[in-house]
Parts: sequence; C-alpha cells; structure tokens
Amino acid sequence: MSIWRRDIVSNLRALAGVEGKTAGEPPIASMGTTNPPLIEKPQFILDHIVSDGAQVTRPSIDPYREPTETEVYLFDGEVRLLMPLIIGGLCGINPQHILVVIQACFRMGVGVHLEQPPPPTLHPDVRSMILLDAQLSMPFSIDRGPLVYHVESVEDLAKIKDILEGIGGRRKLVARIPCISSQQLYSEIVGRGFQAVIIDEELGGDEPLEVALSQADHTLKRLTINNHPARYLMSLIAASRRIRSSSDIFKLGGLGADACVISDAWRIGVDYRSEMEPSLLSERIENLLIGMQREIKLLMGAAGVSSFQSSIVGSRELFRAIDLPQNMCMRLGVKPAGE
Amino acid sequence: MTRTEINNKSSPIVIEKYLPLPKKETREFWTDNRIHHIRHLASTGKPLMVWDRCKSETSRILDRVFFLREIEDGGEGDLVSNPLDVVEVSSKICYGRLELTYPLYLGDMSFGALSGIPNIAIARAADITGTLAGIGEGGLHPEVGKCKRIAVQWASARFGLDLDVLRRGMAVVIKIGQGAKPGIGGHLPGVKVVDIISQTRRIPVGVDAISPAPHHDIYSIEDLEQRIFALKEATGKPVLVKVAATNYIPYIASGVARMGADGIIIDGQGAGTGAAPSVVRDNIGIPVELAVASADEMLRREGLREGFTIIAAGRVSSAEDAAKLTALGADIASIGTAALIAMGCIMIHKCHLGFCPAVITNKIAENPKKILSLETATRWVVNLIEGWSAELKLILERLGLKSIEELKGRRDLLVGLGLSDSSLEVLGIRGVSSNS
Amino acid sequence: MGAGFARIKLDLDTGHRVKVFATSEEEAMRVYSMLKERMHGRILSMPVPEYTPQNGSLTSYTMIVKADYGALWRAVRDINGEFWRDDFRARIYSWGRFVDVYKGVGYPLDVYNIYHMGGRELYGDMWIAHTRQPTNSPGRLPIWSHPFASGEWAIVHNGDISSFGSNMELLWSLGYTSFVGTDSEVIAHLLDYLTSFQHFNVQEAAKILCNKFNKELPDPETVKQFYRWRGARLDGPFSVIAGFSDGHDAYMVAFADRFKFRPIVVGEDEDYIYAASEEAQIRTISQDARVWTIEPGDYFLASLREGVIYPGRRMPERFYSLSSPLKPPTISGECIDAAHMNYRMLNQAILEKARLGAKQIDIINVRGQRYIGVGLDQPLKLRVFGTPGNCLANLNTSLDIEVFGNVQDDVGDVMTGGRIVVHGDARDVLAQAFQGGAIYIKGNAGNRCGIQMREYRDQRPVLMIGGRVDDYLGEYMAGGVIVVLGLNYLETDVEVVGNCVASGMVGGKIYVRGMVSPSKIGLNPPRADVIQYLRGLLLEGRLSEDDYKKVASLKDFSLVTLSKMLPENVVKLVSKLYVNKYWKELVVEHRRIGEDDLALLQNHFEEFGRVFKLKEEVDRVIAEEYFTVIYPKSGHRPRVEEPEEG
Repeated sequence: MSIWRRDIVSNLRALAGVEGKTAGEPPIASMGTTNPPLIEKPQFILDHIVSDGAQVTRPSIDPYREPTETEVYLFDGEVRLLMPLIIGGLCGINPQHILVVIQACFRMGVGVHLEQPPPPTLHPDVRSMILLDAQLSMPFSIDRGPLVYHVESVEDLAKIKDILEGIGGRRKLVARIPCISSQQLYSEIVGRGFQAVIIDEELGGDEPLEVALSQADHTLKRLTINNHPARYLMSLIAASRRIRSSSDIFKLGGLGADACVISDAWRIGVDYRSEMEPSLLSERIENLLIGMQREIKLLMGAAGVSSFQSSIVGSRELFRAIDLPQNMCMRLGVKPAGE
Repeated sequence: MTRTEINNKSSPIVIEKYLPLPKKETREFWTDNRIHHIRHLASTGKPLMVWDRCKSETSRILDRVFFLREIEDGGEGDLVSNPLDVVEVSSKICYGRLELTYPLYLGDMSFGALSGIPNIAIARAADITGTLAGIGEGGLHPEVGKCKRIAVQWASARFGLDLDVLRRGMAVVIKIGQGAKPGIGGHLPGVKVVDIISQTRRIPVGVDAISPAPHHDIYSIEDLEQRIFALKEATGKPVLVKVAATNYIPYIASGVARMGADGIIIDGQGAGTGAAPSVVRDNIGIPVELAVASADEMLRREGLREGFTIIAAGRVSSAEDAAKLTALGADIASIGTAALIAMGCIMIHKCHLGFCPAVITNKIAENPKKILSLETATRWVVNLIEGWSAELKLILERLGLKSIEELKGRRDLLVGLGLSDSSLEVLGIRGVSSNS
Repeated sequence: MGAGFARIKLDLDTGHRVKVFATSEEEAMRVYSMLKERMHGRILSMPVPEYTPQNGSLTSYTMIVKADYGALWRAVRDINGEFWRDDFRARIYSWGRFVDVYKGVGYPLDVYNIYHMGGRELYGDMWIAHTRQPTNSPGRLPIWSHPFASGEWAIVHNGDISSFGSNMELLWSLGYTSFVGTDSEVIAHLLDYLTSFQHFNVQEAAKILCNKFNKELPDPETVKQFYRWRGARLDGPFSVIAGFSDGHDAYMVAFADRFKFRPIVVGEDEDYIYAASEEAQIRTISQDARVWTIEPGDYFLASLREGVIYPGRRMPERFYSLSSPLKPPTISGECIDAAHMNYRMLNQAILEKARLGAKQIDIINVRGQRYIGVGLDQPLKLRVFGTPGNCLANLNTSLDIEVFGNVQDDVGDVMTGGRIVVHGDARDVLAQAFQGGAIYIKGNAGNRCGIQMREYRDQRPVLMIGGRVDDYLGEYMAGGVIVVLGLNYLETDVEVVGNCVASGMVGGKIYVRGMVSPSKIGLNPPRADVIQYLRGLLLEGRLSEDDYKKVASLKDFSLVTLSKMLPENVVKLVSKLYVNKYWKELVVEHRRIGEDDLALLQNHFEEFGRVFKLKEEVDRVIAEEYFTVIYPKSGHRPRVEEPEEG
C-alpha cells in the first residue's frame, strides 16, 4: 500500500486549494475516524502515536480566537520560523520554480533546504533562512546562511575539520546525518560547534526516524556546552520523504524535532507540475503552509498548549502510543495509552 | 408557480426503508456486516448471533479481546436456547438513583447534529424501552422535551438552558469533551440557525452558534465540583460528566468521582461526530476499551468505584462489545452511531455537508423535501435495543452468569489475541498468541 | 485529599533542615547513613520524628546538615533516586535553611493536628498553606501534598500545566533523577535551579516561568534567554504562590498563566501582604486589605524588607471600594446571618424567608459561600454583605442582588433575568452566557467578561463596568451590550481593556471608554509575522520601499490600518494572515455617545449613576468622552458554510 493514502492526499490538496473551496482551512470530516493503527493498517511508528486532548483540569485553547504560538527559533534563537517547517526536496525542480518556492517560504517564515546554491541575487535576509548543502568552494564566500554538512561518522567529521575551523563561527553549521544513534558522533558534532542537526531518513541508517530522533534528543540533552545541556542551545530537525502531514510534524515535534523538512508532501499537496504557472505555485504553497499551521494550532489548542517550541518539542508526556510493544515505548519515551 | 414553490407546497417524501449500502472505498470500522447485523436487530428486535462475528474484519483493540468462553465454544453460540427470562440485564446506576431496564445509554446527539425526527425517535425509544437518552447540546426540542427518560446536557455554550429545561430530564450531563474531537468546540454558522434552532437554543435567527472548546468556568477539578454542585443545587438530579478518552483518563475519572458526580461517560477515539477537523479526529484521544479499563482500575484502587457509574461510549457496535466493556469495568454502554445505523445511516461520512441521504443529519429546513418516518425510526431504535439486549442475555448465559451485574469487572473472563504487552497490561487481561 | 503549610523564616538557620518521609524509623536511619556518607559526616543531628509514627503511613523525620548547597543538592538527588526505585519507602521533601514544610494527607486541620502545630510556637516571616484534590497523581501519600519545597523555595500550585513533559525533560537533562510525579513539584525545582545554580534573581526566574507571549518580550536578548530556558517555561493553567529566602530577605512571589485560567488575588494592609486563590480567604484575616488581581501572564513580587516590589500589573490598580463591610450600618427588615452557614443552609434560609413572603433580605457576614441565589426563581431583593463565593446568581431569572463588596469568579452565568449590582470589583468569567437582565459592577473586572453573552427575542442583557477589565472582553459574544467606563482611569492614557477584545464576536455591541489599540481587537497575527510577509513582498519588488517603511514604523496596526495604507492587491495578499473561515469583520468606531446609543442605554446609565452615586461622573463621560464602539459588521458572514458541531 502506498504511504500516500487517498485521505492523506486529499487533505493536503484541500489545504493547498487544489481540491475543494476552502484553501488554507483544515478539512472537516464526520462520523468516526478510520485512521491507523486501529482501522487503517499502520505503516510507521507515528501511526501508533496519538496526542492529548485537554479537558477538565486543563482547558483547551481555541486557536481561532486565542493566541497560539507555532513559531520556533533555530540556531540558538537567531532564526525565527513562523511554524516548525522547512521545505526540501527541491532537487530536480526548475530554477524559476525554486525561486518561487524560496520567496513563498520567506513570506510565510518557513525555512528551505537546498542542495544547490540559490540564485546569487537573493537578498541576505532570504539566504539566512536557507539551509544549504555545503560544497567545497562555498565556505569562504561572503554568504551568511546556514551550511549543511553531510556527516555519517566521526571520520567524516575529521575530514572536514580544517574547513570547519576555517569558517570559524562565521556561518551557522548544520550536520545532516542518517538515522543512527551514535553517542560518539553526537559528542563530536557538539564539540565541533555545530548548531543544528538534521536527522534525514533519506540518508538511511539502522533505526526508524522516530527512534533515531527521540534518541538524538535525549543524547543532546545529556551532552553539555559550557555546563548547559547542549540540546537547549542546538536545533534538531527531522527529515524524511514520508513526513505526510501536519500531524506527522506535530508528533515528530513531540519526539524532539524543532522543525521538519518535508518534500514529497508539499509536491503532492500543491499538485506540482514542471509546467505550472509560478503564481499558482506560489499561491498554493502559501495556502498549504497557512493550512498546515492552522492544523498544528488545532492540535496544540486541543492539547491545551499555546507554545509549540517550549511545550510540544520533546514533550513526550503529551503523547501516548496505541498498541506498541513496551520496549518500543521505552525507546521513544512515550507511555502506552491508558497508562 | 415556480418549481421551487411547487416543491415547497408538496408534502415531503417519507423515508421508511433502508437504503442499499454503497461500495466502500476505504477501510471502515462500520463494515457492511456490522451494518447488516444492526439492521437485522432493528428490523426484527430478535437476536442474530451470540458471539460477534464481525470483529474478525477489523483490528480495533476490543476486536482482539475475546471471552475465553467463545474460544471454548469455537466461536459458535446457541441461538435456540432461551435464557431471556432467567438472565437479568436491568441496571441501577448513579448510586442507585436511576434504573434502566436495559443497560444502554443513547448517546448525546444534539438537535442540530441530527435533524429533529431522529432526536425525537431516540428520546421516545428511551421512554419505551426504559433506557436513557442524552439530548446533546442543541437545547431541548419541544417534542423531545415531552419524553421523560432524557438527560439534559450542560455544555460550554449552555444553549437553550434555564432552570426549567434543566429540571426536565432524569439527569444532567455536563459535557466536557467528546471522543471524536477532544479539546475542540463547535460552530453552527448563522445561515443554519433557522427558526426552530433559534427557539431551542435561544439565540436570534441568523446568528452563529459557537460552542467554546472548554467550559470557561471549569479550569480545574475544583471548578468542576463547583459546577456539579451548582447544578445539583438547581435541579436535585443526578449529574453525569461526559469526557473524551485522553491521556489522563484514570485521574480524570477519579477526580470526577471525588467531586461528587454520579457517573462518568467516557467517549473513546473513533466515536461519531457531526463534524470535526480531520486532523483532530484522527490524531487525538485513546480507544475506550483502554480508557475504561484504566479508569475502573484507578477508581477501585482509590475506593471510589462503589455506586459510581461508568458509561462506555465510542465504537460500541454489538452486545458483545458492550459485554466486553462491562467485563473491563463499565456499568453500561452508550450507543450513538449504532442507533443512527438502526435509523438508516449508510456511513458515507458526509454529515457536515447537510445532505444526508438517509435524512438523519440533513440540513434543518422549514419545508424539507424528504423526512424520516418518526414512527418507523422509533420502532427501529426500540427493536435495536431489544434485539441487542437479547444477544446480551445470550452472551451472559454462555458465560454462566445470571445478570449483567455479575459481569462487571470480570476481566478474568477475557483474553487478548495478538495484542501488545502494553495493551494487555492496561486492559488487565491475559494474552494468548494468535495461533493458539 | 492532601494539605500542608510552609513557613519562611529569616532567623531559622541552624543548618539545612532535611525533612524526610519514611515508612519506618529503619528507613529514616537508612536515609541518615546515606546522607552522612555523602556529606562526609557534616550532619548535625539524628533523624527526629516530627509526630508519632503511625502504622503503614509515612512519618516525617527531620535532621540538620551543614553543607555546601551543591553537595547537599546532589546528595538529596541520589538518595531520592535510590528510594524512588524502592517505591517511595523514604523521600526527602524539604532541605532548606529558611524553609520549613509541614504536610500530610487529610484536611488542613488534620495536618495541623498531626504536627501539633497549635502546641508549638511556630513563628514565620511568611506562611503558605494549601489544600488539594489530587488531579494527575494519586493522593494516598503525603509526598503528593503541597507545598513542594526545593532548596530555599516552597511553592503551592493550582492548575495542571500542559508543559509538564517539557519541564520534566529539562529537569532530567539538568541531572534531576527522581520525581514524585506531579506538575507542581517541577515548579519548585525549576525556581530553585534557576536561582541557585544559574544565579537568576527571583524576578528573572519568575518571569521565565510565567511565560509571557513571545510577542511581548522586550528585546532580542530576552528572546534568546527565554529560548535557552524554554524547558522552564510553563504553559496551560496555573497560579502559583511561592516563598523564598536568601537569608537576607524573604520574598513572596505569585504568578498566573498567560490566559489567566486559574484565579489569583493579592492584597495588602497595614501589617501584611497576602496572596490567595480566592478573596474570601484573604477576608478571613483582613477585612480592610486592598485586594487586586495579577494580570494574565504576569507575576507579583513582595518582600519582607521592601514591601510590594512589583504589583503584578503593568499599571497599578486603582480602586473604588477598599473594603467589604460585613454588615449594613443599620439592619432593618429581614436578615440572615451567614457567619456559620454553608451555601446549602444559606440558600435554604433564603428560600424559607421568601416562602414566608419576604421581599427583601439582608445577608450579613458572608464569607465565600458559593451559589448564592442559585435555584431560587421568585422575585426577591437580596443585599449581600461580605464576600460572596464563586457562582453567585447563576441561572438567575428574577433576583435583584446587591453586593456591598467585591465578588469572585463566574457571577451571573446563564442569567436570563433579574439584576446584579456590585459595589466593588468582579473577577474572571463575569456574566458568561448572560442572556437577560442587567449586571452593574462599580469597580474593575477580570478576564473573559461577558463571554458568549447573547440575546433572544425581547431579552437583551446589559453588562456595565465602572472600572477596567482584563483580556478577552466579550469573547464569542452573540448579543447584548457591554459597557466599560474606566471611570477610575479618567485623565490617564491607560487603555481600560486587555488583549483580544471581541475575539470571536458574532453579535451585540461593546462600548469601551477611550482608545483601544487596533491589534487588541479580535485575534491578530503577531506583528513580526505580518512584517515578515510584507518584507518578502518588498524584496520581490511587489511592495514599494515607502509603503513598507510606513507599516514597519508602526508599533501597532490591524488589517483595517493596513487597508488604509497599502495598495489593494497587497492588502488582499496580506489579509490571508488575518482572515480565516470563522473571521467576522468587526466595525470599530471611535466616537462620542450618540442618540442611538442613548436610546439603548440611557436607563442603564441613569441607574448605574444612581446606585453607585456616580451620576456626575457618568453624565460627564457620556457628554464629553470618546468611546471605542465595536460590533460585527451586519450582513458580513464568515466563510464557514457547513455546520461544525455535534
């Protein structure tokens, strides 16, 4: 079965305004859910995780009438995203469209992950929100956006030691790593002055994203920078092509991600085509982002939470696992439902 | 006359038959077999099976919980035996203040979510069968108000409530949450607030009817106590508190009991709704079987279980479901969706669009083109309750029990098949591997 | 049920008083030897039981230790961690030099008796007391009772913080290893950690915990500090009262969550400073204290040496009524003395007098009785002296109630007729779902006044407030009229309403004397988000530099402001950030009271002036002052087309 179930696709398209008449609005449904794990077949650990609904002792918050903060800060508080979202998967998209995506994301305060350098004419403010995969020639340019290094091992880090020292704090450094749980690697990443880690399932690894992420969050909380738990000075980002929806982003947040990189999800949501009008692409991306932000707000509000970054990120207590084995619950740090 | 005018003048078509079931395109809890089972009960008032055969089609946790007896029976039960007069299913709830002939609560569907006739049918069926119907938040429909066995709902918006209305029912339900959308309120747009809705809710025609997500006078357990006692002071009736099944359900249940409520309605994930944001409906809340088991456990441990009532709601599809929930710790089960199916619902998940083909949740209009037959709908619900209870009696007989009372909390009669260790622990039952 | 007390005393210091709950003397001795080993013998006394040990329950033992705080903190952590794995057979629950905690299972009086508190001469510079219904933990053991202490802090908490998971994660990462499992305990640990190990002062620590919205943080440094300590920020409902001493001064801190979900009042008289969750509690001690509330998301700070340091409000409160008389000057006619009555007896007494034909009853010595007037549906005039409890006149249909003091939360809920007159302040959730009749408040009122007020047919409720109000005035309002006169802030430029005025309003009318900042009306996106969006348009060349600068220079704006300043196509784009399917356009007028308004309100203005003897002030305000008038644009419908309920 495809991970892109029909209801998931049409939900994204309704948000983007490809389907239906209420672009940017979380779709409404009726009667009981058919969601996994109990009705539809679960495909990922995320499918077993549910969020809390606040009641009695903890009032819920109405995000349409009361403020809820979806903003997250990255890089020790220096970059502010309006929502915990970064657009990736821009490889193979024509340059004009890439620019449109970058601009729409900037307006909406959303990050972009690029593998190739953006047009040189881009304003530095816009560049500051682009996480750019590092290439050998770049570090010494005047650019000041964050640089992403693909790191799989301590040896990889040793190889780029000189480059990192050459950058010497002039640029924000991001380590992009596969789904592995190596204490030693994290320790080196912290020691080398990286300010963010992207755990990218597309790079492989030996754990599911959920587990690798949760363990990374806890590992970084045990490591320190000047006696302060490193995690609170660093950003943790989850990336995978299978991040399908705002609820996936929300749950990955609970497992420790400050933000998620989505790729297939936005392309499917806006019904991306290489020949599409730039203005249409721009509008649909805006709609999709506003819609996903509203869905995240609904989930936050329902849980009685008004700040994503301080109350959701890593806050496993707000989540429960339905019918997951106990040892998996332990590894995630999420309690079984009903306990 | 224009065509519209002709249509308006003509009397509406009265629906008295079930519609054929559409082909399903996605997986569904309410499978065709479940619907056919309910239709059988609703049409005949007679049992169709002892052990629920439909559970093999879905993988809800409760579907993987079995009475040991069923496994010993090889899944077959004796329909011929007639235990109906020997087995007692009547139930006293709310510290003995209410007695139900059959252990069923007809769950809290509002006038607004349903289009009027179904509300009346449910309330009348409750009167006829000696059960209890929760009226939901839409205020008191004048015809529903003539029925006795109703529970009036005090929800966040307090639509249509005053002293007189509150005193009309046999009990008051404080609705805190709903299984299909924990933590979310409701919104009826002004265009839908037609004259009759305006009257029952006491708001002007055309003004949006908003139900805030929380009660803004209940932010703590002490606040809840305050509201419970204010309502008791005003009405002298038992007070039930309806909550969604969420993370802290055992603590919430013990809090509700300690704060002087007479019972709790626990509404699980997967319960029906007239409308909810998908993202909320699909990702919040826990299944009722886990919630009931852990709430019952906590209440016992804290010495609060005696006399207090637990009503289990959400995907209760058969007498066997109700029996298993009872064994896990519930006193009675609540049926909502099953009652709608009995009245002809074909489960197309389009209630919020206002054109329900079974005219159950369709838009409320002054001159509807189609209406549900009140008489037929009432009969369907009455039959459902009777047929359901007959199946329940058959199950009790197979279990060697004389009454529903004897089944309460009997987790030892249950086993789990292919459930995770964590689920078994919360349910408090033994597991067997699925190939044994 | 649990209860407890804490005292803070400057000259208490004879070393750290380590207090432990243990199941037996043996366990207490185990704690003693573990402590001794870790403190290298600097332990001054053997464990002394504080009360006669009872079979099966935990007994409190005290021992004195002289030590460096860091070393003691680590020892407590290790020992508690050890016993945490051992099912709480012992738990150290307090280890400060200036803090002393007495807590247990039962009602406050039970705990008082267990510790023989009456027989000992227990003096303190500050006392904290608490009783609780357990909400998210069991209540069988005294370890779950409040106050919770950590180092020199003792706190009591009312609420259920939704950031609990996040706060626990931070504490784990800081080396905390065992918890009794309540959200209240983490608050004590966080405050202690921030002040003891991060050297924040009391004020800074309180600010981080009480967690104002990001948009209200003053500068990038604060943003960064709050970001780094995000795990210490509290979310969800809470009100907290905390005591702290550094040996030089004793501090009282009280704070409330950003939505002000839980009640908290503070007060001051000649001798004492008070903080409590209900005013009736303060009144039990002091009839003359000035009592006020903390602003949503703010903190109150006072100390023994300095008095009130920060009042918990950005603008100091101005009062009308300074006290709540317990009796009228002369009693004439029917009178009920509520001094020794619970609410049921009181309502019963009222009912009996009404049955015998009383038309007016004076109720004196009222102290926090709830539900006064609930369930009575005959015409009757009640004069209330003292401080009535929550839920006054709920479901009121016919009573005319006059209160000669302040009232508490949830007054007039689902009131469909009759009248309430309050010669003082009202607190939160005043007039919820108020549907008919009149409510007049002479002084200030709290959060969410007039929430979901509505009208039906000829019933049109009127809520008139003489002072100022906090956030969410008229939230979800669907009908009726609210007037906020702000008479106590005349001649100032103070805005007499808080944030999110008329958020979700679909009907009715709100009058607020003076200006209301545009961004305070309804729910608006954070300014930073709007500027970000416009900056994007600027960089793409879709917005001129001039237009951008005009907006960027404004501190406060709304969509209406933007519509007047920016080209139409830009407004259309940026409105996406403001408009959602529920969004209803509000008309906001800044003008004087006119003929039409008077037709609606003349009688109420006159009555208000008469009952409070404020005729001159009211007349002058009507004649001379500008009002902000807010109501939904008629004919404008939200984009939502389908019902979303049921």
